[in-house]
Amino acid sequence: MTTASIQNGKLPVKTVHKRRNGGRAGLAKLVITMLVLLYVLVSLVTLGIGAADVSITQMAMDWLFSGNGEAISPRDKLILFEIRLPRLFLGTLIGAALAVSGAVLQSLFRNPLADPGIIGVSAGASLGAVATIVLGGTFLGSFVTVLGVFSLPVMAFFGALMITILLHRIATRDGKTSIVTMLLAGIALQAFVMAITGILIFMADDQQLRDLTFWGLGSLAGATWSKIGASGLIILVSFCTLPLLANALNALSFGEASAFHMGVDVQRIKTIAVCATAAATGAAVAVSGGIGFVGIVVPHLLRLAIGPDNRYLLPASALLGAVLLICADAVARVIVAPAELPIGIITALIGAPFFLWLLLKRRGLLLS
Amino acid sequence: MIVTKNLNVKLGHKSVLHDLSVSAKTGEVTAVIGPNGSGKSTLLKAISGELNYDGSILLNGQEVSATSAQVLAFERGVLPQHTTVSFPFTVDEVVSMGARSGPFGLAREAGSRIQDEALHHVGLAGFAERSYHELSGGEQQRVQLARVLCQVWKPVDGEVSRWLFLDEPVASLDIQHQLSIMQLSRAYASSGGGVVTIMHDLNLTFMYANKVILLKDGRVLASGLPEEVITDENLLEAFECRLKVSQIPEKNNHFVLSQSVEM
Repeated sequence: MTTASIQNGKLPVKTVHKRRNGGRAGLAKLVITMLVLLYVLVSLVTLGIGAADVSITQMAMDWLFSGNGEAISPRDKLILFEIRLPRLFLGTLIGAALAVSGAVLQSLFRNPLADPGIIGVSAGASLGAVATIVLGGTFLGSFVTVLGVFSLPVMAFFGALMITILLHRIATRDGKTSIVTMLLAGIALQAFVMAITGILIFMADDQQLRDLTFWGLGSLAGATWSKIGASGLIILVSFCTLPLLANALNALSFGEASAFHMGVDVQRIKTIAVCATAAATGAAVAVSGGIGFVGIVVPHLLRLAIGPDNRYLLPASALLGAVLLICADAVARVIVAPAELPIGIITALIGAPFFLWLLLKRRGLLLS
Repeated sequence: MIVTKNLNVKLGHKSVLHDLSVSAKTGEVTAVIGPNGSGKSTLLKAISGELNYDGSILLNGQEVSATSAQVLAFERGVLPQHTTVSFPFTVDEVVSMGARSGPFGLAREAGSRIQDEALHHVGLAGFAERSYHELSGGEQQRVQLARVLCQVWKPVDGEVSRWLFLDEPVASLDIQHQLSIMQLSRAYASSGGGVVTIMHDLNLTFMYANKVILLKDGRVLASGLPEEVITDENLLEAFECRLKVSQIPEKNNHFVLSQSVEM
């Protein structure tokens, strides 16, 4: 066999292929469009759901036909604009932040099991938040005065950042992240951080305990426009890095060396990704307490549907995360109305079995 | 042109390359051979820009350590010995990442045409929709090669000659694909690009390399034309095996059979 015949055999006349990349990319765009529509639908429906009976369609009709807002009763107006709408915004921001943070961390750690709640990032954020509440009157006082409404999210950000950096340092060696090390280190760090949080809670006085309980239940109930302003700003700024990250995170799924070969400044991308997820998770935890499993369920479902390409996965995760959290919040406020269930309970009820199913499916992967 | 001068590389506390001064030219396939642990992969990683080093490595006249990841990505593609992909990408998605990488990633239309062509070259036409994880080891390796080819598709772009750095590209391939992939790298060099490849198969090295660098314990044992470097004496010194290099008289082709070993 001569090499010439090999070449003739192997490099045949070019055949024209129908362009296939449309396959999954086209599907991804379709899914994103559907998610946008779903989000709008869910928003409108949940605005009408709650302890008080406020009909959105009735209000919209009144507004349309009267030409101004006067036909709407002040009570309905108050419920809509001061309670339900802030809650919707907050649910959107937090759901998107948690789901996107999960997706980014999973790409960064090259591991579909990474989730801010599971590996201790949320616990780090909690520590920051609890420290602000408990120590705000003492040596963190001037800090709280300077940052005002931003102090809680900023401290939560530093807590989350600390855990993410530590975790990455511990679990990564020679550019490879060990799954087992990461999960175990996450558990250890989480236990440690929760112990410190426990000490702080032990130190807290009665008023602080009330604040802590209110905050720690994991709820969107405290939604106010000023809270949304502070956390929303942080979350939106961290989202601004995503277009920059998407392609680089794709390349990182081949390993850090290959990503570098393809022109990715790996160290810089890692720094940005770690800071962005810590900021988003921190801001989310600061307003709503620990809401688990959104970060793992949402990206995983979407990867099954549209594949792992982060250019589509990240925006789709933001949308589905928002939809999921808004729905969970609607359930939380209806199921035991007029009381409310903490939303963390709902997400854990859905998320924990899902996570177990994921583990069962991936048992082989954990051992490797 | 790649020129290393007094190149020293340490991995941890262990010194792996000692005062290495070698060079590779565009238009040629340069094969790096040597026993396991002789520093072949370390040399390839160093010229790829992955490692810290002492001394100098000039790639197209620029010091590698002072060149940005983006510019390096434009000038050279690297095929590692083994690549694990952590999420279930399709073949097409893997290859398209090569086409989009570097500072001037290929435009979409050109990119998709070139992706098809690259998959053809590595014998995987029609595999675009397949999931990367469902492929065999050899097929995965060829998908990665297609990705690298897309990254440095034109062997010469403007004034810049581009490079393929291959770490044992044919180690996991069957003989048909061993030959076609080596043929491919030879064609890349003939069109003005440069190829630096780590090889274990001495016969393929004879067939396709224009230049051979033989490493032993992080030092250059010999370098030059294949028939000058792969000799009975050098093989004995490098691999501690008494092998006999033979020649097909009329074709001027050299070969080494494992069977020729004297124990």
